[in-house]
Amino acid sequence: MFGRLTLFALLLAGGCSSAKDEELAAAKGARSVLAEWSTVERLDRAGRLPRAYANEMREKAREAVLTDRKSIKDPDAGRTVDAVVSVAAPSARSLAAAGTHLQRAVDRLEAL
Amino acid sequence: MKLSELALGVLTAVGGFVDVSELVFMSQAGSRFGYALIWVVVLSTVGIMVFGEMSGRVAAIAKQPVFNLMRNRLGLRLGLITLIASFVSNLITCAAEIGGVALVLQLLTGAPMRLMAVAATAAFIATVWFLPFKWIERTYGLLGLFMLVFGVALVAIHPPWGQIAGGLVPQVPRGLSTRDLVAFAYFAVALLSAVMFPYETYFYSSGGIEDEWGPKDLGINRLTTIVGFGLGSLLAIALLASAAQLFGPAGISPEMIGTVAMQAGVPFGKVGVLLALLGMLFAIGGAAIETCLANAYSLGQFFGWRWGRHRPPREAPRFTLSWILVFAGSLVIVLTGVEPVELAEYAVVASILVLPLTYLPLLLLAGDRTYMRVHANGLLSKTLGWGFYVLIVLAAIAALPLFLLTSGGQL
Repeated sequence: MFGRLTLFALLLAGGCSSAKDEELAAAKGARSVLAEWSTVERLDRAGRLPRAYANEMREKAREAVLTDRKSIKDPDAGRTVDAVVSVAAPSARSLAAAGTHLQRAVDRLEAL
Repeated sequence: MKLSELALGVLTAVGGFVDVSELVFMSQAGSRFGYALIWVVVLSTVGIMVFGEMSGRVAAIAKQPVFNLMRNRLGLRLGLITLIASFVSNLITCAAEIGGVALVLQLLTGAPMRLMAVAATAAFIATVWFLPFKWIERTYGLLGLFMLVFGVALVAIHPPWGQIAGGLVPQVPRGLSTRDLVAFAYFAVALLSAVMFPYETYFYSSGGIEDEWGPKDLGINRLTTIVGFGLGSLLAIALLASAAQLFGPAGISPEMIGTVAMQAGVPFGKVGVLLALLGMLFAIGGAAIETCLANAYSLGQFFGWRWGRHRPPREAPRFTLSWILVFAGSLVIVLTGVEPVELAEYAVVASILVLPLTYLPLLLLAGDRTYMRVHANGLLSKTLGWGFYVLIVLAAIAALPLFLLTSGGQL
């Protein structure tokens, strides 16, 4: 295990995978934000969130996903994110589905 | 010692225990690694109890605040390096707290975040200017008790108590990939840093001198640090466990501070979210004032200025100007648009780097019988103190590489 850690550290320290890491971090971030956004929509639909809170969380989630999108090069993941943010008021279900779809891109990037 | 005084001191310590970094890291650690990092929170809490008690005792007996000690014990050059490093670390932390408060206010009111940051900073300056020290501490500490809603929420969602108890046992989860192992190590170091932030001891010991502690206050010092920090730590563990239960299975690793409030929203709806946001507002607000004052205390003590909130602002002009400028500088950082979560990540790494320099002079003086007489460190304090010192030195060495390897816990 120590050997693997050392190799991992050397690879990263050498900057060999910095672009991929940036993309992976962005994909993971976007996937989490989509799940957070989906939970906001679900709870808000059930009338369990204060209005100002729900609106601001929506806006912040959209901003965060758009920021992460800039670092996502994977075409499939990019299309998924674009499809969600192009809708004015995406549903909890579509957001959760997009998050699940993005997880596949995360898995692909992690495997590289 | 009055029982009411004691209860207020303990409650204030509980309400003031959690700050923006703990909110972020407890939630992210729980969602990512389940209950496996609870033991780190417990271990770190024992650490802050040990050093908090020591700093209070030194303030009461030797009448020496932490930065006086640093200059005397480390010498001018190393003392100055520590001062600069801790100033930068506290400034980033203060900016993270002000950004966190602005975000919470935005979530409560819908008003623009930058406007809320300016309003919050103005309110903090007015608070520190007009309120006596004890009332600053108590107002924010006691109102921070709204955070208890997170503890009640945890009970309400019926978590697996057996698994939570299992998290008390030191462990590294099995079957993690190399990447996840590195992330686990990063979160362990980050939690240690978030619980043992250096500003807490600067503020606590300076507060002891502000309140003119003496030998008769050693009991309240011990109880506040052990019971107050202990109960505060339970609140932090509740945040971690709720996140493990609610966020982990949903694939959420909170990227937005507001998400944390949903831990109370799931069981209690709108009321839960509002109570959580209010608790977060005052807990983070209190931490903003503490970090800001900690910086002003450090400067005042290091350079030998007249310092303290027990003096009217005009009687300690350089100290007063210092805390106003720290607030202003922190506000400028927030207005640049850096996300508070990102600032909190930088703050914990910067803080862990400063910790060894902060605690070394404290350990040396607390064990020195010339100053401390019969109140010098006994065998238990000495053993725990040096044990934790070795731990924070190791954590400080590992912090920066882990931060870079995991992109601040993102990978």
